[in-house]
Amino acid sequence: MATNNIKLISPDSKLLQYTQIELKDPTDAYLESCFAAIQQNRYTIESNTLVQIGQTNKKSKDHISHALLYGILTDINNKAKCFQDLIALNGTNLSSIIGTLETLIMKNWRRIYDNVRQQLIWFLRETLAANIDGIDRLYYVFLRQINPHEQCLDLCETIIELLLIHPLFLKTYPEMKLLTIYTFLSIFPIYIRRKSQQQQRQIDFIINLTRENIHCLGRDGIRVLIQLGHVREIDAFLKHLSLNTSNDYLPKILSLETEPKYLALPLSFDLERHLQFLLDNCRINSQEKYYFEWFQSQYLNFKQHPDSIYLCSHIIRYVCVVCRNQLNPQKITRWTFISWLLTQLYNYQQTLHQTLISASQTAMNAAAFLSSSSPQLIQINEQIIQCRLAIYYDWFLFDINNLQQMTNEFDTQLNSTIVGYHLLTISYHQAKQMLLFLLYTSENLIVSLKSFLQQNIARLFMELFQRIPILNSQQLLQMFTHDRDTYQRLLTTFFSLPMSTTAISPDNDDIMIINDDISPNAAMPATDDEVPSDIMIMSSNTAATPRFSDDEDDDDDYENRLSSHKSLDQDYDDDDDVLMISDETKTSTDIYNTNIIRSNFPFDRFRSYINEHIQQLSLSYSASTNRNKSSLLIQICKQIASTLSDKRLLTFQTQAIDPAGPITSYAMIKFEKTSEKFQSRLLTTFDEQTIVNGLLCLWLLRDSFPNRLLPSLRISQTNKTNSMLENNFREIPQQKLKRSIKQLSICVLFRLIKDDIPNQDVYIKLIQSMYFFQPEIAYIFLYYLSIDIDDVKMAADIFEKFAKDIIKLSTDHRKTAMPPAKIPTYDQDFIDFILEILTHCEQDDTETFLYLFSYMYRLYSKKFLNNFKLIRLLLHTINQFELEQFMLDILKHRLQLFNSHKLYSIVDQTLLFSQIEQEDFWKLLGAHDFVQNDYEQLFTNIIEHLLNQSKSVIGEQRLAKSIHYTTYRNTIALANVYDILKTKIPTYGLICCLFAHELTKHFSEKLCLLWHEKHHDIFWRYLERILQKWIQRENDQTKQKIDYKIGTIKMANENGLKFILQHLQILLENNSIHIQENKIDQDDLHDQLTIDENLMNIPLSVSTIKSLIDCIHKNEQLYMENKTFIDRLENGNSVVPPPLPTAPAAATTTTTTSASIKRRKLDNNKS
Amino acid sequence: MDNDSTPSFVVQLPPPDRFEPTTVIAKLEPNQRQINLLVIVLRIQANPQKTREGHEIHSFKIADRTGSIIFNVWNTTGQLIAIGDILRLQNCITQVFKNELCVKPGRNGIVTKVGEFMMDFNEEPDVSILTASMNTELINYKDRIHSNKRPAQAMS
Repeated sequence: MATNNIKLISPDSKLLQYTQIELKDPTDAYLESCFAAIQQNRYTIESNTLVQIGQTNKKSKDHISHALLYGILTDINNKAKCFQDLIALNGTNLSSIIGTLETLIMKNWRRIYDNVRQQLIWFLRETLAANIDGIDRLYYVFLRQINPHEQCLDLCETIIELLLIHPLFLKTYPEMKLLTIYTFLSIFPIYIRRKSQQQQRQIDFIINLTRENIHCLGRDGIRVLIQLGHVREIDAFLKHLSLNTSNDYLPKILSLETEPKYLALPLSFDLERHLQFLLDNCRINSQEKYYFEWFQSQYLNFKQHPDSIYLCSHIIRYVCVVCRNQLNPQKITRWTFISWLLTQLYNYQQTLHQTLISASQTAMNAAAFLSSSSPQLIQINEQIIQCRLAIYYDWFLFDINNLQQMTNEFDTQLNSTIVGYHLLTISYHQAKQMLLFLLYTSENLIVSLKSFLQQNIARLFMELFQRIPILNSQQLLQMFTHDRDTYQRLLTTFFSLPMSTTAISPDNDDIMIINDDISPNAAMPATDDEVPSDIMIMSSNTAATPRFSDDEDDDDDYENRLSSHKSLDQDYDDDDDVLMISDETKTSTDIYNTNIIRSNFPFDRFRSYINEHIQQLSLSYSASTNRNKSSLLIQICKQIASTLSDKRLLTFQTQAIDPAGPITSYAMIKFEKTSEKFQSRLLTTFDEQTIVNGLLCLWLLRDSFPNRLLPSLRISQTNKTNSMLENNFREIPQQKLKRSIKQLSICVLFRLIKDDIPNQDVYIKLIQSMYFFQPEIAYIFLYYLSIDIDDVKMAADIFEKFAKDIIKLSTDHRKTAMPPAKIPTYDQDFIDFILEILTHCEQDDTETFLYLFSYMYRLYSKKFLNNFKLIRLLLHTINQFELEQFMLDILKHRLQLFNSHKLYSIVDQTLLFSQIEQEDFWKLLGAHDFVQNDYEQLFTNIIEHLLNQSKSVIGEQRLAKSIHYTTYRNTIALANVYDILKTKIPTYGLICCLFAHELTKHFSEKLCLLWHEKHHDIFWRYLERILQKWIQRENDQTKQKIDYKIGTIKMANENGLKFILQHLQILLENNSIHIQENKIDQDDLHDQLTIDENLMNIPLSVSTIKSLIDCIHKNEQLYMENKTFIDRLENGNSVVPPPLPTAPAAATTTTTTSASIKRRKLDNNKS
Repeated sequence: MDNDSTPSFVVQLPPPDRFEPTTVIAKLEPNQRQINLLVIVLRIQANPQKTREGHEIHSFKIADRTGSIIFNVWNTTGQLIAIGDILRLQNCITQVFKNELCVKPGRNGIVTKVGEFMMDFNEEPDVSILTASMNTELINYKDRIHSNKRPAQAMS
């Protein structure tokens, strides 16, 4: 069996310390082999032959140099000789040696033997003294070892000593000077704590260096300085920076971005490599737990190495600024890593807190214990804040001026700020903390720059909301709904437009606080108050508040505009100019502010854009002598159209700027439509340019909207009191209508569509984009078309063009229908669109609506017939007078609302209307020609439908539970049907239909009686035929009874006889006397009357009665129920006139059309 | 060119590193021998256990690009291995131990740490968990060994 016990032999080395399983480092092995070659070649290190060989043999020179280096590092006794030889051999060019050393140190610093390190430092010192070329490379490698991870505090001192001895070095290599400063500033928090006050000389040295060079380090220089705010000298220096230097000294430093090489300094080589690898390669969900664990165990083991907490903020800063985002969604994101890192810190903070609490409970003197051990906690709290600052540092100091000039700069900035943005989305708790941090820090970090910092953050939020719309301000603000104060502060500082920053002026007792202890979280221990040394308070001279270049100027500009706007406004009051801003809209400014910000639609950009161009427009046009409104608007619109057609920006001639006021209101923009989804959709159809111009037009034309479109008749009919009723648009003369659109400024734009055919599409696009912000434009457009374009087809085409994209846009994003539902066709969508427009119109102005309604039906005569939705809208709106007008239109064939196709389905839907609306519906329906002429077919269907309650299309689902309701509902409709039918002659089909159903009191009874009275002969003749057929069917045993039809109507099977009897009973019993009077001249009748008063006169043939009675007798139950009537019927007298020549039964039953034609012939014959 | 008269300085450079993994974790099967792997240590699989002879068995989960497996190693070697280490395993064998497939150093087995952290890996599939087919193969294998041994005993 194989033994599992491996023989372990660690690699033999004089340079590096290996564990038993480690592989020998190749550089180490190479140096060793070079050195070994000296002995193998029987030379000694002391002899000069080596130099001679090296000088003559180039190949050997390198090996010998490395052998000498190895000698320097390992042989203390001969190091000076070796160094001399090395110099003798290479002169001042030691690049290959330094290269080797670089790799050795970078890879193996931790395992280099102490004595070798000493030798390395000796070598560094010697090379510094000898002024060797490329020594800065070696120096840099050493410098990198001084970091919170490796620490190397001794090296720290050594290097400072070295620099003090060789001051020329830093002068020769200015870059090294800056690197040194940054390195030392980042290690000082640990260094000072460990080495206490003994190292004053070193501290002074670095601070002196810092003083002279801080302006070259950029903003992170200040950040590391702030970390050291508790050091007296640094505190004083910071005070000096903000107060005694020139006004823009500090802002200039802060606006300068720190180069990545500085940010990498506090990280060791290994850490940097591993961090890069982690962010480049780590796959999310599968590898992250391992990589994170390894990373933590190696670098962030807070318990074993408490100082490693100082590393966190540097790591975060490095990740934010230097690392780039992976495009691969499988890979870990930077913010995930940072979020994890922060969680580790929080966890450590919590553990510390817990241990302190539990320790204090057990300790004898709890308070004393807590105070003695709290520095650790203070440290971590400090570092958590430093970490947050590291994340959002760029947010605070985002110099907008740089961004506009250099796009690269912008990318870098965005790269660093994006992390902070995404961190807000990771967890609720974190986002809340971060927002609070941003708020508090922006207020307190540098008080004199407060407004600048806040503006930066607000700007960045906006920028990011637009670019990466995964968040919006509303979501963020929701976290603070319970905390009104914070909510308001956040809203005003970050999430609203920089309205008037002039309000935020520096306070009189302007105290500038640069504080690393501005924790907003309550996790801070009570002992926090004991760290006053952390807080730096300085009084600033109020006169010299640091300002950031143009930024404040903008605000001044704004203010100027505001004031000038007021004056302009007054000017405009005098004349009727279109470009006047109404007072009403001005007051509503505040309402819309937050909404504008909320959107990811770049309203803000548009706002300034519109603002700018409106000013210029108003200037250029108000100055012109032509004061004619429409010509002015035509010019503007034409200009817009021309820019749209060749897709270039609107450019107007710039004059001396005397700006009009900013746009104070977007009242015409429906803000419920400004949701992000809506806007992103909008941008799929229209380019920004079109939208901007649409908005621009809307702004120009904003006074077009509130007014009534239709001209009123009142002026001509002043004497009439009830003008509302009398205001009939049909009577308005065409001229007056034409004049009405001329008054409407927006029609200028519409007229361009009509006149400027080549650019028609452009204008239509413009109107479309306007529609989304101001839906009223659609019906105004329609109104215009109705008046100004006489050719109906042309108008329909134009409007169709207009509607098409809008419909497409709204339907493209329709939720996919559930399987049973059908996806509406384009025509249906079009109708819905029209409906929407008309609804808008109806809400605004009923008369215009009625006018447009009838126009719509003329425009698209076929499309809208039998449209239930439109009819409903009309019925909801219409009053009695208007109804009559509409009926008149229909009767005059000027309007058609219905045709016979599937009319019953609409009838069915109207059943849910109120009674009055139903009546109106039937009145409108009754006015149609086809109803008057082909009523048989139509009403058999309708009656059949209404009487068969179970078949009700709507009722089936919603009202199936209440049959009474259905009956009631149908009764109303049937009453209306009765109203129409009462003037009509009975037809075979209709009678058949009546007898096939149960007797209803309000409909069939009334109708039967009416017809019985008025059209006695026709009625009974048809009835006889029906009965004959029915009896024939009953007696026919072979035929399937279900299939038997009379006309189109299926006679009832089981209850057929019952229904017939019901009807007959009503007809014969109640009106027998009446009939007698009518038929008094008949002899037989007279005879019968004398025999028995009760004897019934039945206008049916004897055979029919007989067979009917036979049928009844077959059904015992029915006979028993109606015994008296049937007996009377049996004894009744047939009074029917000689039977008319009837068409063969087969013909009438086959098809409905042939039956009706024949019946019509029949009627003709009769008459 | 170099002058012949000048003494030479010959350096015997260290031999170049020629390690090549012979297989990958996903291809491992029970009872393989002489395998070389390049792996990363994911985690410590279990606390060290003592054998009857007093050896400590350290158990790690190791992985490469193709999958992961358990790695058992004795005593000091186990103590020296840390999570995140990149290891070279030379002359190792695979074995079924406690119904899991694992790798351990064989005779002349060598475990070398060559780096840390920076290696791509996949935890899935976990080769340690034996599939049904492997189990039957294993039973067959054991049967074969038994049947081979018996005649030998009979001979003796």
